[in-house]
Amino acid sequence: MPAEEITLSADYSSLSTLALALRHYLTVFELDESWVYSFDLALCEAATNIIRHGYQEQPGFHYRVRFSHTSAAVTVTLYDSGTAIPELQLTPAKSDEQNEEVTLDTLSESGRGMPLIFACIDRAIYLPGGSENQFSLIKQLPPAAH
Amino acid sequence: MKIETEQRDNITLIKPIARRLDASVALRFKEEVLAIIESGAPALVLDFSQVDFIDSSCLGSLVSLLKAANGRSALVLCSLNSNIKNMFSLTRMDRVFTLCNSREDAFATLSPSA
Repeated sequence: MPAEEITLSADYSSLSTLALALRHYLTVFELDESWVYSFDLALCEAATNIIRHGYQEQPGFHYRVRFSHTSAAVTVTLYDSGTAIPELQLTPAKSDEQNEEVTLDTLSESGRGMPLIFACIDRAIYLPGGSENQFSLIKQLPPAAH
Repeated sequence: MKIETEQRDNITLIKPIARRLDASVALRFKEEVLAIIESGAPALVLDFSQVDFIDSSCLGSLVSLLKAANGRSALVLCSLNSNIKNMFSLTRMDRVFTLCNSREDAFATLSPSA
């Protein structure tokens, strides 16, 4: 199956179209819903990040999404020309942070997008650029799907 | 996104009718439920039986609602699918939210005799 590419308007209404495109691309692999859900979630978070922080919810912008795979993994790459993701946010949370106590008072309403991306996929490659940022999300296919 | 509400004694059941709760609806979802909390509802059940997918924007809305309800309304979530439950576990939200398997479990949790 060749790679596929779509261009979407950088607004939140694109998220459902993006999810449909991902699920359509993955149909051929006959994957378990939990595998698809986790990739769907990572992709949704990455696209939301572009819309919210990259383009600051300003109208008139677009982002591209490229779906591809090898025999071992699926890669989805997002391309945008907005503000790049700060390097600090591209570091997965340390294990001891995961063990910190959670209370309602200390609970934040935001900031879970990037940690969820790292938790849902196997590898992330972010390449900030002057004219275009690239964010590749890579997830290994289960053995049965190879 | 449509939100159905139902009253049973002093418990308000709130059921979002949307397969996906993402950033496109998170704000409206939060505002509609917040209005119910601010109207003085003492106990709320958020029924996710019609929801297949939620993202971190929706989780953020739920955190906001839990904070708004704190001390005013009891808030219980029910009927989350296994993938959404896993997301709550992953983000440790399962430690601060009361999650019930079914609507009836949620009502039992909130009923005075429970």
